[in-house]
Amino acid sequence: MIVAQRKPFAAIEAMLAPYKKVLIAGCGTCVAVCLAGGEKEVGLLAAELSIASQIKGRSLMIGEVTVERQCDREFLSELKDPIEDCEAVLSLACGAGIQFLAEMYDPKPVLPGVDTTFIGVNEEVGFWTERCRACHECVLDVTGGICPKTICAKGLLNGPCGGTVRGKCEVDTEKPCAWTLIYQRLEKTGRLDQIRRTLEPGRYDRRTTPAYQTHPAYKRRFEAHA
Amino acid sequence: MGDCHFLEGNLRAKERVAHAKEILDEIGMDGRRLEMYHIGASDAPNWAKAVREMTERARELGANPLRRRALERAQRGQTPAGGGISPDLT
Amino acid sequence: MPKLFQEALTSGKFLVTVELDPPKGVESGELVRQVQTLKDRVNGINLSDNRGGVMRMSALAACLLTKQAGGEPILNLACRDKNRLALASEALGAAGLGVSTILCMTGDHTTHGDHKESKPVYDLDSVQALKMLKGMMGGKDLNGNALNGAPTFCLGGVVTPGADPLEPQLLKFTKKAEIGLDFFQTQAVFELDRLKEFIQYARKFEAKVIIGVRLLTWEEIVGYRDGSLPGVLVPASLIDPLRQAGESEGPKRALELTANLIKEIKAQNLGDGIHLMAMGQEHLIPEILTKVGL
Repeated sequence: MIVAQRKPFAAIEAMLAPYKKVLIAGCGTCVAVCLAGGEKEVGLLAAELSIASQIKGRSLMIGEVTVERQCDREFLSELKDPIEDCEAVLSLACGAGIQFLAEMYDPKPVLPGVDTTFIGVNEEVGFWTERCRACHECVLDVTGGICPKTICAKGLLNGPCGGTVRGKCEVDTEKPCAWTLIYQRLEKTGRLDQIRRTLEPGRYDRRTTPAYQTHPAYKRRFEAHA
Repeated sequence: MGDCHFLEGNLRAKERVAHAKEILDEIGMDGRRLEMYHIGASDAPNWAKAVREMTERARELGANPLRRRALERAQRGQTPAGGGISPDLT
Repeated sequence: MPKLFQEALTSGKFLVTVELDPPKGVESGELVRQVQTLKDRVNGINLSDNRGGVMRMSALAACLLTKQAGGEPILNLACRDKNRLALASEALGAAGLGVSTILCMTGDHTTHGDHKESKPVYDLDSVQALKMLKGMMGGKDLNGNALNGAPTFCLGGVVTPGADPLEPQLLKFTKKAEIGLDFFQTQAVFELDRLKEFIQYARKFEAKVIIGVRLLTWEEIVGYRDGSLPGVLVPASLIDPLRQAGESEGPKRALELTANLIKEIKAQNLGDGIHLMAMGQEHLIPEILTKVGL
């Protein structure tokens, strides 16, 4: 899932300052799981903004709506009427959803209510950890299911570095040294040979411009993008 | 603290109340309007103490800011926005 | 032009190298003074590369200043700030300007330096970078394009003999050694039995191993905890007495500790030389060298 964090209240207030009628658009998928932008968070933020603006004597009308996902046009199209009715949209979806919404409803001002942080997992309610950097060349088979590009602070493909501190990372001793973890896991199943060979440098040509991806069965339709 | 019938319940509540107080501060409502006290079910004296403290605090803080605005409006002869508690309460 | 360090490597003599930091600015007077003091007592002077993530004058520029001052420079080349183009480019520049001894390392993360917001590069890790540099000696760049003039490098890697656990460190050391490096300079060692364990393994390979020894400053002693000095682990049995000795005695004890470590490394043949790190206290290096008879 994509993890995001709601922007500080003061930042959101500042963004909405030019507008008197806004729509808060939530997303029911990733951001709902990480308690940043789901229906509940939309309601909470709307109440916060309503109270704060009343106290300041500023008129602000706030609409609230949450759709299943903002990364799919079929759900974004449900927002047509409420969006027409507002001056600006504050989207609580991840960066991808916010942009998709902005594109569909161009030129309506669309503002980000969250900072998108990472691709990660739901360890427990209230706690999420980053697991993947979308590198286009997964090596989890070699490294025993632990991603060195994500879990190693330096993203080393041949680690560990000399800064590891008793199995913890030089950068943050609360976090584990990825390569120590990788070594220990592979050792348990006699697979250390996998990391005895040198892993080759990354292929950044695959990910330095915005990526487009198609499916082989859809080549004809999207050939231009393949 | 920690001696909760539901094990962690009061610890989690404490965290949530702290978060709620921060939100109240952020939006201009003043987080001091909300407080959590840990009082045993049969501890009448501490209960009374807490009630007195919060009543005193409510007096110090005055009407909640939304209410205050509504009162000002009413005094100027404009209708207050929405319903609410009687102005006489303060 | 005599290549002092490279000759010393094959001479069989006990090697001595020191590490200096380039200036944080253009004022190179202090660096030049340090070089002049040390140049005849050591086989090589490493110029650090934004060590600890603290921005300083480029290591290559500092190497040239060192050369001009009569010293024998070793270029530290970290993977933290340079992508593969920049690493190759810098190495070619170095070799082209007569600085052909390069110590290539991963590099301390930006997080503890004075520009923690900056983007850490790490396009290549130290293994990939060393492999690339070695390959360039054959006249081709990383992608197989022909070079207009192949460089000759004397290549070194870094290793941490005191790492805990040691096995993952040895696995990486092996990858580097198998590239065919000329030397290793290690991170600072404080525990000799751990060094013994390491050196037994390292001797299987041809590369010379120069053991890192570090003179701790009083601030470092007081502030020490696991992880406060990247790559350096000091056991409580050594750090506590230093702390307890207090501000006036502590540094003296630290100097004695350093000198004793060097003597033991030499006496017990636990390495092919020592790499002395005394950042901020370079003026004490001649005293230490004299103390240990080097």
